[in-house]
Amino acid sequence: MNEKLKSIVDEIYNEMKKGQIPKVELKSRNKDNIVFDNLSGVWKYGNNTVKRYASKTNSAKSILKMLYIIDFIDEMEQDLKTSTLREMYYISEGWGLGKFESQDESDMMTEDLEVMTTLLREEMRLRPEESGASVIGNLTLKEMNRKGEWKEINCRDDVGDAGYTIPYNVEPEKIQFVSEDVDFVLAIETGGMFDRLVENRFDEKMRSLLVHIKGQPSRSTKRLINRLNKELHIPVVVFTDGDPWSFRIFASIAYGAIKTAHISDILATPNSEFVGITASDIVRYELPTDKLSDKDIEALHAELEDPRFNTPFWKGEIETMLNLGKKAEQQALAKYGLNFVTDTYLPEKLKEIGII
Amino acid sequence: MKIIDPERKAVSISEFFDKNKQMLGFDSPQKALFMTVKEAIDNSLDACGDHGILPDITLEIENVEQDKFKVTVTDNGPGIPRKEVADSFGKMLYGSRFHLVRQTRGQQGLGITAAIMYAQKTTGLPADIITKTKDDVTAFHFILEINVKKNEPLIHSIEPIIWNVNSGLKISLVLKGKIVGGKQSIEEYIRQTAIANPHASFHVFLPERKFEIERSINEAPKIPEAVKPHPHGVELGELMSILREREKEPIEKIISDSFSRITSNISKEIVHKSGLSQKSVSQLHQKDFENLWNTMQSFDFMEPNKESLSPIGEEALYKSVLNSFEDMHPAYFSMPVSKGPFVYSGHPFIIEAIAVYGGNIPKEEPVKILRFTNRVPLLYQQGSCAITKAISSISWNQYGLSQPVKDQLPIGPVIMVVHIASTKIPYTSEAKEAVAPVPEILDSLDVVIKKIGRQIRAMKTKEEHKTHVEEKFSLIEQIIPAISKKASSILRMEEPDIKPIISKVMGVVAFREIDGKLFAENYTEERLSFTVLLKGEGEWRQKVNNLAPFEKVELNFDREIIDSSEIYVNLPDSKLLGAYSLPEVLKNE
Repeated sequence: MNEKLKSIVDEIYNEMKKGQIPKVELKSRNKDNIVFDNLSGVWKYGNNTVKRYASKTNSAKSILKMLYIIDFIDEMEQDLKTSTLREMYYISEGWGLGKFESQDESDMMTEDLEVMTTLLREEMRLRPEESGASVIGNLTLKEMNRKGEWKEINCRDDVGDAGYTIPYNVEPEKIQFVSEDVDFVLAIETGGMFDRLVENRFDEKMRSLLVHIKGQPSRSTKRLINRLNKELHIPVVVFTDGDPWSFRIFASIAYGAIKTAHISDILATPNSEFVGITASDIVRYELPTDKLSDKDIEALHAELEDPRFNTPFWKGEIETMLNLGKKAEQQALAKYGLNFVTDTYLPEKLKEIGII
Repeated sequence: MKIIDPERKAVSISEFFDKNKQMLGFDSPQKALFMTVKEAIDNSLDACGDHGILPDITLEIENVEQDKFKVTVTDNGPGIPRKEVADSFGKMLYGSRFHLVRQTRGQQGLGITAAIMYAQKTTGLPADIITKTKDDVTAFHFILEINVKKNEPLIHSIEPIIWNVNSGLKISLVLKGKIVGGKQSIEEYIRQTAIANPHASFHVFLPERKFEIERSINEAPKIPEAVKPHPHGVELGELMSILREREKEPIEKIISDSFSRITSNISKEIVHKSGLSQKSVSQLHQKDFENLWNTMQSFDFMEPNKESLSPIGEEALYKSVLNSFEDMHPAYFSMPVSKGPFVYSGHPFIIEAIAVYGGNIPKEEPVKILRFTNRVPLLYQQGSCAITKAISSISWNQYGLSQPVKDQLPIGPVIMVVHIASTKIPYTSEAKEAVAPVPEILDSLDVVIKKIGRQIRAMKTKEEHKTHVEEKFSLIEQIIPAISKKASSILRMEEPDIKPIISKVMGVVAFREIDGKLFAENYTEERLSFTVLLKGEGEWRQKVNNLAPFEKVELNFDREIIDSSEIYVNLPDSKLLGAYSLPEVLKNE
């Protein structure tokens, strides 16, 4: 049995043996316990911890559930199986009082275990479902397939127009990079824009690796971007809609998210650049817009308080957007024709941020 | 038709109904069907009551075609002697009990006769009646209708028939009607009737539904005695006719004979004071009658006799409610409260009430009120009824229920049952659907309902305690043992002793109710002695001596007391679960 998991059980057992109320202790995963790590340039959990004592019903239940998860992981280890988070949620139906109320709860507790053990959930044989995010461009990698063989794939020549699908595990035991011939990674929020760039052969023309991140990116998508940047030293550029929620997508790629602050080191890519759509673009390119909703305005105000956006660039952009009262989609660029984004907008903007 | 139509003008049934709709209560098809069922069942219950029989009543309603329904009510009552059938069913105002008073269900308008006429008017079909008394060898089958022009029953046929019962009555009517569900449905009427008549069983077959209600008690209620009216309960006109009926006799004798609580000495004094000592009845003028009546009203008499009443009774009401609301799985039942006799213009009345709390009773709706007079449920006119007004006028916040609008019903998971038994109920109208809000009745209701209110408050705090107690027990009886078991099995180690952990988690004496019994369990680390005080409709105490850690003791209180009382113990709050620390004021009592 995994020693780190075993030590959690040991502690619970030993406390009970001594007649003490059992507890678990872990770093607080509250927003108040997120601190900026100057060394790595990402946001991580601070030093505050929380103790959950079995004298409270909810805490006792969560201790019991944690024990069930640990036992389940141990069983899978012996049978050499893995399980999706959703499968574990359904399996918990048979755990009596240890049954999860919702999948959110089981996902959350899996993250708690990650925080306590510093193991990744994949190392605990738990995996998310594939998010379906994909990559197109001149990158050659090898992937360990089901048969246990390394399969070499060129993400431009060996794939269809939908690209290479990012698996849930992108750690070196599963994926290794072979060679590349690109100048930068372009992470794209929407499917429509990704398809536009693929059709316009932007990957070839501008020597770029296109990554469709499908909205808020999954862990494995962020991890792949992180590895491309760290291991191959390829600059990363993020291209999203121009609204407050897309700004947050950029922040989570660049600096990490609260839920996963314990693994920001391997997920976040702090030197990522944001290419647009910015609020200034809306003015400069006279883009078609939508009115900001009350929720949008609230989100923008929250971002003004968010330490991740505490730079002159972001403060300026957020305030400009608030003043305009408008937001715009990536595909609004089609106002000037289907080639405008690849022939004019991106080359102009990329030059300005110094990528080309 | 003397009373209905003083000029003896011949009228048709249709005309008659149109003229008297309001009074008869047959003003819509659904109300007509409802009234028919109600009159037949009330008659059955009254007949059984008069003979001390435990009623077994079968109601069948068959939808014969579209809007035509056949209503059949069968009872095990005394039956009606062959010779009296025609008059009992066919003649209006037959059988009024003049000059003697006692509690009866009382009919609305013309009672069953109106139902027969209504059936006749709407379908042209006569009433079908089978009756057997215990002295008859066979039963008799009557086909009967009513000749309104002559105010006479018209018997089509009488035939002897074999009916294998000791005695009983079966009446079938076919009428135009409409079945509705909800608060004013026939089902609701039967269910509520069963609450007020726990000695009766019902077998009900409706077009799309059938159900049985078993009696909750096996004792027929005491037959209320017919007593002479109380002098304060007589109307002037009534007094005049009492005197005129015996006009040959001396006034003082008529008076002492005809009323309760008047001795011959008092009677002499009354007549003297009214200045009628030398007079005989035939010499009296209107003014003299008025003087006599006024004198009678101004005298103080002993209060009216309550032997003429038939309250449901505390124990019967409790059992009845326990039985009737089983499906709602209520958390608690209050103790029944019975008060009286109170007096309203010479008539005694008793008020009985009980409340049911929690379970599946809706939390966010106004409390449900079930109103009864003389064992008959009142389903209409809730808003204008004295019972509703008395409940609404109480400030419920002090009894733990929210009352968003002053003088409106409070909100909460409560059903209140209120019964008024009297020789004369003042109704707001001839339809007898709501009790008139007269001050004497409102004041008495206020006293009774506040007693119920205090119990509702106790039940509410108990429910809050209960949730807390259940949560703690689930922690120590299920979750912590499961943690111990799971952790041990993962490590393949022996299970630890979790008692010390449980003491640490609890550290209290816990009071828990299981199946209507109350237990005290010591989860502290020391032996304890304490007194338990239950406070609700009264106060009950029990001492517990030297209860050892992890020891459990059953407290010997009845379920009624446990349900409706708050639990106080002379230990500090920090050592109690499911009970309050005894306040100083109660300690010295």
